[in-house]
Amino acid sequence: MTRSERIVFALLAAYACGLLGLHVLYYAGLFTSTERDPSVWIHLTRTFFVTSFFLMISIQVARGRPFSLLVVAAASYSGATFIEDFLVIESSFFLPEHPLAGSLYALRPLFMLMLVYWAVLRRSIESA
Amino acid sequence: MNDKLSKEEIEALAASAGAVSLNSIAYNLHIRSQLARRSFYALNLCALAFLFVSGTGIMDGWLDQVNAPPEQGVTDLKIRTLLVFLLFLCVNLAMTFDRFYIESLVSAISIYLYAIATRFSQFYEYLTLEDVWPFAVFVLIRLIPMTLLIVLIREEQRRTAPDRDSLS
Repeated sequence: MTRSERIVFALLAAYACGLLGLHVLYYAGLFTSTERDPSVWIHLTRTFFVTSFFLMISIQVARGRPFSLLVVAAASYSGATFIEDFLVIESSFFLPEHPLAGSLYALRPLFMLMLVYWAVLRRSIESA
Repeated sequence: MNDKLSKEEIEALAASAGAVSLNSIAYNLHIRSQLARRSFYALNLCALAFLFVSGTGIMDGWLDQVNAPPEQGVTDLKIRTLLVFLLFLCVNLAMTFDRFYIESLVSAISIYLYAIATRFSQFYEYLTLEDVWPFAVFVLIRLIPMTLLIVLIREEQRRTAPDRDSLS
């Protein structure tokens, strides 16, 4: 990976860790709550996808294998969830009242931009 | 095997077939395998069928049939239609200009898998034994475009892979 890629990867990994931390807090609250949350399945699906992309990309980076298509897939997924949140669910962010959620929500466009940039950069490197 | 044509072959093709645009779907389908061509047509048919059906009330009626309450977080059909339309445009344009085609296919399958997983998980807690048949049809219909996308990605990876024979 180039130097700029490493910086982008570190920033994206930090964002993903923050997001997954929020997921953990949400599930912790869910276990102690007596009320049933109807959107739990959507949240579980999201946790699964975010964790899968993060793990698969990290493993491929560690193995030194091609991973550009995985980054493309992750960028598309983040775009689709953004459209879904923006147009349908309005705000599906976990624990919207949490201070971490506020910063993650504000940084989301930057996160998507970095992911798309990385996808284009990595794809052009690997296909060259 | 690499199916891409050499410069001489492209010139010969252009000379024999008149003005062949290298940015046409016909040309870009011609340089791909028969399986890829058929899968591409079938995928387009599926997308058009979905766009047509979502414009009518058939799908809403079907959703009512499987007891999926829209007020319980089941994603609006409109957003799914929008995504399918965007992917349909993206895949076709990418094929026409032979740019980012495999990336478009990967994007389509990524979003499609997410849509399937969300839909299944949303339905899961509302399903009863009476819903077995409608749900089985739903699963089968979902699997067809996914299979086509996987076939197209595999074909494209095979086509764009470096030709090992040319090194020897």
